[in-house]
Amino acid sequence: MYLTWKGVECFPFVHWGMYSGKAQAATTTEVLQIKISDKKVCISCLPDLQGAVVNSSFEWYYHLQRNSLEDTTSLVFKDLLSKFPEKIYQRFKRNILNRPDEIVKYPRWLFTYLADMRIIENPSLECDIVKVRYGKDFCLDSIATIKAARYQYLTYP
Amino acid sequence: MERIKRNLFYSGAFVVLCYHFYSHALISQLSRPLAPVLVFPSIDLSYQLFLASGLFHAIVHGSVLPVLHDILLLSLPLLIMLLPERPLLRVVFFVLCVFYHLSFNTIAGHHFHGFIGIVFLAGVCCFEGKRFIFLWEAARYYLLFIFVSAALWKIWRGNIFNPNHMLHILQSQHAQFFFEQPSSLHSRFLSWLMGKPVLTRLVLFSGVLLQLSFLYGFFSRNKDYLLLAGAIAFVSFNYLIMRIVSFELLILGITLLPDNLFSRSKLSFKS
Repeated sequence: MYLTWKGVECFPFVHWGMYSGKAQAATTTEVLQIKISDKKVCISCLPDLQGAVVNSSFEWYYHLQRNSLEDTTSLVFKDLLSKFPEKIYQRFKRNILNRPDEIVKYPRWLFTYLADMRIIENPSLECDIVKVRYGKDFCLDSIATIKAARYQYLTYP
Repeated sequence: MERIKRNLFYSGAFVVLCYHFYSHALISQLSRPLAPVLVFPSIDLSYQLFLASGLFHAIVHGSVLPVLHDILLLSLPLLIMLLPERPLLRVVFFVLCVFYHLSFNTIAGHHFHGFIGIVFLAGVCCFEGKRFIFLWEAARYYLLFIFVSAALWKIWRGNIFNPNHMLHILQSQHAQFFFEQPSSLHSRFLSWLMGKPVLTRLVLFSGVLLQLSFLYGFFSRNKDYLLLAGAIAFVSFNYLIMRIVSFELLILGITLLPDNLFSRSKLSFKS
């Protein structure tokens, strides 16, 4: 009860206040568009959990990418675990934080996660962020497209 | 009675895990042919310690271990029902559930709570006798807490009183769906709903009221069947309005089933 009151999450004490925060007006918003082999992947058609994995993991990747591949978890991590001896701290750091050389491999992982159920002609992945605006009758109009990730499958990893 | 409750839980857990398999969300499906490259511990200390232990990397990055993990996770509920006199199997299942829950959320890039009902009840089923009865009751209170806490947060933060709160939630929630499937029946229904501001507010207030009604369960058990119906209705409307599949949480709903139902089942089973 105390942790819930404080809004702190520490498994198994989780916070159940979803959708209670202030919802911003979303007349203009962003959606993810993925193309594999130049064909659009319908993310909302995927089974619920798979769609959630694709959306959430991409959001995390995009956040890291915009943060110059630096893991923002390090801000919390330093406070919590820096009291451990240096050797153990470095080991923890290696296990907990995303390294830049690992982050850049994400598009390849996303490709292999999605592509195994498709017939691939040109093994490539394109991820774009599409800025959309709600129009009349809540139809969406595309305003702009930002290239977010590219991957060309050259050799079997 | 204890055994019937357990079997009911393990049957439900098996169904939920099959759904995870269908959704390509088991560890082996997420880590083959390539192991996931990103981890998302967020600010949760438990996730940070879990990753720090090295267990996640050792299993998820292994070649055979993810498959072995998933085979065990899927088969243990059935094995436990077939061999109820082996308590160790129940403990192994609980440990695997905790590992799976933490690993899935670490890979997914978001800490989802849907599976937590399975984790809690798997823990409860590790015990027997009076402890089992006590913890089963505690799990019931936890289900009530989930709903009441969700309602109180919405009221306390005051945003439900903002006339456009629900409309903004729906706009943000369904952007991807409208973008990809604008002409589907479900998206046409949602567009129609969003065009009716009074109705969207009514939907939000009804949802909060329904969640708040679980407060009654803290004082009496005599309306538990109604609360169970409320939980099923909530999960159904959660999909219809929000497109969120939250049926996994219903596993905790079995704690709302009256004890005499289990006693009757036992009698009929004997005869």
